Amino acid sequence: MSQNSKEVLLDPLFNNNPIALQVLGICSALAVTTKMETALVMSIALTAVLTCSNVAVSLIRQYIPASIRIIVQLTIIASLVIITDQILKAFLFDISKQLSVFVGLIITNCIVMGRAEAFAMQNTPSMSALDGLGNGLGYSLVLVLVAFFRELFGSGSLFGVQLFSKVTEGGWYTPNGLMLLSPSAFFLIGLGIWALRTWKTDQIEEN
Amino acid sequence: MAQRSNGYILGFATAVCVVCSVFVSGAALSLKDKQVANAELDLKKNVISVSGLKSAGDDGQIVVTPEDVDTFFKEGAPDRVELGYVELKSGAATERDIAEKYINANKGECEDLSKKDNIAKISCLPKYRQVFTVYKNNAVDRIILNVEGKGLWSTLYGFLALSKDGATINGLTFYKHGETPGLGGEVDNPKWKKLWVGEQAYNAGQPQIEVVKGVAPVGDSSDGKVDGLSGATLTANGVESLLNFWLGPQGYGPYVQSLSKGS
Repeated sequence: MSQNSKEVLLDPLFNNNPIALQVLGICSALAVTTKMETALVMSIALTAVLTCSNVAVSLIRQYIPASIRIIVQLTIIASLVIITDQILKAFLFDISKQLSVFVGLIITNCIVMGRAEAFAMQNTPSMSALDGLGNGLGYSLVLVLVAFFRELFGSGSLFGVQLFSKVTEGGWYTPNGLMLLSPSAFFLIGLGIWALRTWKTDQIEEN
Repeated sequence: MAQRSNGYILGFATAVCVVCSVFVSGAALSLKDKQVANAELDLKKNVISVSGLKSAGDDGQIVVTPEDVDTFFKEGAPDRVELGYVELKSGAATERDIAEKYINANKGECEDLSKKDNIAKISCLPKYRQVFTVYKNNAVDRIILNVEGKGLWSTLYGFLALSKDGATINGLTFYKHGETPGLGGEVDNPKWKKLWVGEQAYNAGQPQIEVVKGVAPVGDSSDGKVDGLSGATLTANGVESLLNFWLGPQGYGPYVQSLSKGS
């Protein structure tokens, strides 16, 4: 792999993370991160949609009329999302029940359209695929991290396996109810961005 | 990018739409059978989980496998679940063929409810509704009612199991809802579902379900009062209303009363 394509793939993990630096796709990061399982499936679904939409947009980028490019991108993304939703319903029924509306809302995830418009419209299909994969992984990394803390402290479990025995069930751990509410994801993402910018000081914005 | 003609733009948009719709409808059609099967299996699993035919494991969870569904939905087995229909207004059990024929012929037909009566906030009331009868050793053991109603964010769909005379609640489960996990979503918690077992559904012929904020008074454990869910008062209120609705005169009330008279 050349230096350039490596950068395209790995940059979005830490150096240019879509959630932590670009602050895109926050809505689903709040909604599906109360459990590891749903966060993981959502991550996979988004990464798949993002990679495919990047490739599709990049393949026809020479032919898309500039005046309708956004709606063309949206049509492609929406189709991919519906297909993903159908596949989840057929093969991962229980999880798709929990994700409910949020798979459908990948359409409105700013990361997907952002990458189609900013990257896939100017680059080759293979590079776009790497960019989609990289950004999908960057999103996944944040989602899984947030879900880890929320499920562990909110429910005392990971992947549904009880690790801390709850007071209500005769144990010692009082679950932190705030962790199950959306604002806790804001706090966690905020703390994450703080940690990331302490490590990579070039991400600090100038006042 | 060069300026394109209007014809090109229209043609391009049409082409994109056609290609996308082919993909979408292809996926929807080819996966439909599997999805329908999944939904039906999930429904039946939930029926069995309140039927009492399958006992709970060590962790208090009732795990229903697809094999169990085959076993207990088999016609003629001594322990089985049978699907039937009830005409809600009269409370009369109706032949499955007749009810299904009527439902297929009158799709979407339903009765509007006045706001005051519609405590479960359902969108419409059908003429016939499903009821499952549980047999143990070929004798009727329980009946399972199909209930639904509005919670906080979503409509909750579930099954309520009653003893064969319709007096005692034997189980409650929700198979579909969109409440917040950890708060309203705790209606799925096996510990909470257990609280319902043994409660008397009626007091002098009136449904008496009440979800109490906090902890229900200790002592009488069969008075229809159940502990609320902390942080989920509105969902719990919804559960209370929907159970009272379906046990009441608009719901399965007439049918349940005919059961208690029969025994």
